[in-house]
Amino acid sequence: MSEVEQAIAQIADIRAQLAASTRFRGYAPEAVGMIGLLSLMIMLMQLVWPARFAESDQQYVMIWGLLMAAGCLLIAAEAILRTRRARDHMAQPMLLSAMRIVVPAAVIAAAVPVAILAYAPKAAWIVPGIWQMLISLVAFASYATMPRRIVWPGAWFLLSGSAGLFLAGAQGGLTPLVVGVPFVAGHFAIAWALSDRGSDREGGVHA
Amino acid sequence: MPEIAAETPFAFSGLDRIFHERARLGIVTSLAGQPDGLSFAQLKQLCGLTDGNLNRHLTVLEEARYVTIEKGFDGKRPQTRCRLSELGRGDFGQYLAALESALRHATRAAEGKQAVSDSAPRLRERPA
Repeated sequence: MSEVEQAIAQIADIRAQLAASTRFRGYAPEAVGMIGLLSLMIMLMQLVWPARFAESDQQYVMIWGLLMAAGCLLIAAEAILRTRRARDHMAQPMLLSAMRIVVPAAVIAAAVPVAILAYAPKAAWIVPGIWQMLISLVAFASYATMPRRIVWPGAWFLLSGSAGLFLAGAQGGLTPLVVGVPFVAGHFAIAWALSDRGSDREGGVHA
Repeated sequence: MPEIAAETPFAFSGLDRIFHERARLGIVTSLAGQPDGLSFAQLKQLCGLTDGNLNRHLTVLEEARYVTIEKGFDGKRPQTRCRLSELGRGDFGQYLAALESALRHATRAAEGKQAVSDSAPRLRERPA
């Protein structure tokens, strides 16, 4: 490798470091808030018409799984559109950096319920708790590139996911509130965290 | 701007003079991967600068609003913490892109020169 090629590789490393620690503005709080509203709607439907929308644990997993998949697509589409609009040299590496955290979690969130529904459908009650803990992991892993208050929704999903697993285990199955409340409150909390636009743009001294 | 850049590919207008200085490049590169910034002492050690030199370069970066400096306490000891601002991160990203582009131009130019010198003996061997 020539010296110039080494220099180019070093520049790529520095850009990757910069991208991994720079605030990513691709996630739209409006899109996450919209998922919160849809979660609220689903929870109410399951409370009002349990025979139709909350008949079994498998049905919970199917309905909330569809919502999660739609939410992921909505947030990803918005992030890609925002990145393209930004026309910033850092936008593309930052999107890739964010994807390195989100995509593995999304793959796990999709693979685990498929495997459980296919081979151990009676264990479907653990799936919403696992999803919530995965969201928590993503929130904590993204801390360097997110507003500081992302730790609150991260902590909420970790606690509610753990509590949901114990409650569903104790009750012998899922209920609309055990599944719905963590998602509704958690998504609104993420939208609140993302709406923090930050204040360090102007620089200056903060004594 | 893109039209101007296309007309003058060797102007390298993206190479911001504030970053394009060895000590400041070291400071900004050290801060690039640190969302919570670094203390003055850590920066001094990483960049191998004296107190006075580091102060001088930090002032230049702070005046350009590329770096924020917070004076606080680590326990009872006073501590100065330096962070790359959002503006600094954006402009440093552009600087790195311009630097990479300049290096790629240089590589292509060197390869072109090499190709010419490789073909020169054969040209000389041709009968007149």
